[in-house]
Amino acid sequence: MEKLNQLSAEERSTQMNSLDKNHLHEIVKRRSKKQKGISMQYFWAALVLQIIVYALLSNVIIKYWNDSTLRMVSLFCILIYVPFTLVLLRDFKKIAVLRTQTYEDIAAPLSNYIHEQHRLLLKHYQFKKRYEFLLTTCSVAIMTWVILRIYFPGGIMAHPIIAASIFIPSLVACLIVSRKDDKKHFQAPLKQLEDIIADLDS
Amino acid sequence: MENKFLEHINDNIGIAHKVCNIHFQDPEERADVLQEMFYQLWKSYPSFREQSKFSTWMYTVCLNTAITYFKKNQKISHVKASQSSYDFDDDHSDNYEEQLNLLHKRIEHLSPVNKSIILLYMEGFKYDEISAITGLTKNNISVRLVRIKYELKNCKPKIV
Repeated sequence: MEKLNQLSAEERSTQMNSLDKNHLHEIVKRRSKKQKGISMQYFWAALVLQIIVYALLSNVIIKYWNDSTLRMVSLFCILIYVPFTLVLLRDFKKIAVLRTQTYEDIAAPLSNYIHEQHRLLLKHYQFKKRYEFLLTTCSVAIMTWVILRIYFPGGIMAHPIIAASIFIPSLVACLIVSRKDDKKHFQAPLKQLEDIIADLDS
Repeated sequence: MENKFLEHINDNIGIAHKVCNIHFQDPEERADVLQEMFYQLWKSYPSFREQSKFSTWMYTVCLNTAITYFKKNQKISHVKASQSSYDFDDDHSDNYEEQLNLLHKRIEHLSPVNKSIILLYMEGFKYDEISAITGLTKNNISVRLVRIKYELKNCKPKIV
């Protein structure tokens, strides 16, 4: 076994090279850009959806200025939507920058590090799920109400089946897309961390 | 600070390669993880207090990075692992070099945590140092090493 260890060390030493300043700068630049990209991917997707809702409601208010009910409900919807944007600006970015931990974290013992990563990822995943469910439901409900109010005389009360046939498939479609994204960014990494925790605890 | 960091890294660069080699078989993945390790080392370098040896600190950061690196192609990696398992069973050799390859193949089949422990053990770390890096107790390390050796030995009695 010891001889094999020596051989192993010799073999590995042949493939080593060095890290110079330029290489380090290049790595830091590339990685920072990559992490920023991951962070902004979440941020922009959520922000674009919110901008669409604000634009739609603003357009409805201007176009149907004479319809006081439509105007007031649209304004009310904008007000309902503001907290989502505030939460997005304040908290949502934290989810994406999870990998850019505080400096000391990565130098923590493996077991502590894995448990902390799992705790943080799970916390952010639960927050994201709640946030997205409320945001999606609210967005789809607003859009359904606006469409029925404008194009179907009598609105939702007069056409509940049409409203349901717009609201339910739209909500399901949004949730499916969100679930797919969760699988890639949260469920699979969480499973990986849980496997390592199980291994650590065995 | 940058010069000191580079000096430290270049004196211990083998650590990053060893951790990469033991945890990843795909060359592309290895290269990517290696860069991630250098990036994490650079970012966390200000936290290095010189209370412990640089090599111990570097092992901790590299192992944490490697173990939590999310494989994009997990299915492919799994298929590769199965393939190497098949190769391994067919291998019969008395030659040290081939035995070394055989040992590497066996280590590939260990769990990520056990891979890390056997790597640290092979690098000559004491139980309390392995315990500090992994966060596991010395008793746990001791029991695991017995299990790992048994696991490696059980595949082919000649090796260990």
